Amino acid sequence: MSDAQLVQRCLQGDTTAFDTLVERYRDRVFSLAFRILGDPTWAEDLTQEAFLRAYTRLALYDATKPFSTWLLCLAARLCLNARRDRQQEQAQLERASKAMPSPPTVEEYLYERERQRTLQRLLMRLPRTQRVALLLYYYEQMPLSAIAEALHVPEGTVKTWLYRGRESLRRWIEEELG
Amino acid sequence: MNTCPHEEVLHAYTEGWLDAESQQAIEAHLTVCHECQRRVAGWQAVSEAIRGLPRIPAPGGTLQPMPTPHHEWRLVLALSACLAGIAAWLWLAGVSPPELNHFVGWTPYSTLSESAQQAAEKLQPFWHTLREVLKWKA
Repeated sequence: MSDAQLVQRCLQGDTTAFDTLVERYRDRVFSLAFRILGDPTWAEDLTQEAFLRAYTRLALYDATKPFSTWLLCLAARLCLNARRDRQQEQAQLERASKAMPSPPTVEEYLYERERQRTLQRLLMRLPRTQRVALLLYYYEQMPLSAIAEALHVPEGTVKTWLYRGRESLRRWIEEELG
Repeated sequence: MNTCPHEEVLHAYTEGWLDAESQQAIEAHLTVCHECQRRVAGWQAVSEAIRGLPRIPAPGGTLQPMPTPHHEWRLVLALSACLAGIAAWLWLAGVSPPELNHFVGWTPYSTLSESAQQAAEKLQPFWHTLREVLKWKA
């Protein structure tokens, strides 16, 4: 059953339809939230909040657009506006580099895991707007127009965030390589 | 193109956001400029690395059950029943239909008949509570 059909059934009062949507997208929403926030516990909270918000605003979803784009943009917006006090923010930054959940430990993948950890750590150094733009565009492969709409900014601003984010990451990686 | 393009333009080139003529001009520049080549290759490596980040399974039991949508309907039904009960009670108390306007604030109290004034006074606390509930829900 398509996402649009599930949404329709949900609006008609079938709650199991929304459970199916949750099952379909929970990993994707959680991954995006984790990549933006860098903290699994916080990402878990935001995932919960994103689905609750999607559920209560389901009537506002435009069925002519992909549900995944609508849901992920909603989650990204929540992450962008999520606030914690300074102490929690500091603790989160300290945990960020160690926060990657552990995949199976196969020797060949060690280098790859380290690379991913480094990238996640550097992503956390970017301003949150640039990080969200980079993750929505490259990680979720969303169109510029959808990102601009989700973040309530012109497309040109998203392009600038992408450029600045990518350039900072490139420079930092070069610096780390010496 | 001998001079290096502005970095943001070079970045736009890597995404194919420029018109065909500008894309070609930068392509030609890249064949002779190692600094720009290095920059473009660096950006492409960054975006590839982001694309290649793995998805992470959400921890089990993350999501609590969603509230059922019937909650809203129950509230609407309860409020409707409440309003119908009040209307019936007012009718039995001798309040004429035009005087019911008073209860939504469209008719001044002084213009009500004596029986309607008594009913309005008795109903005042209920009406106040109901308005608070509606405001809270909104």
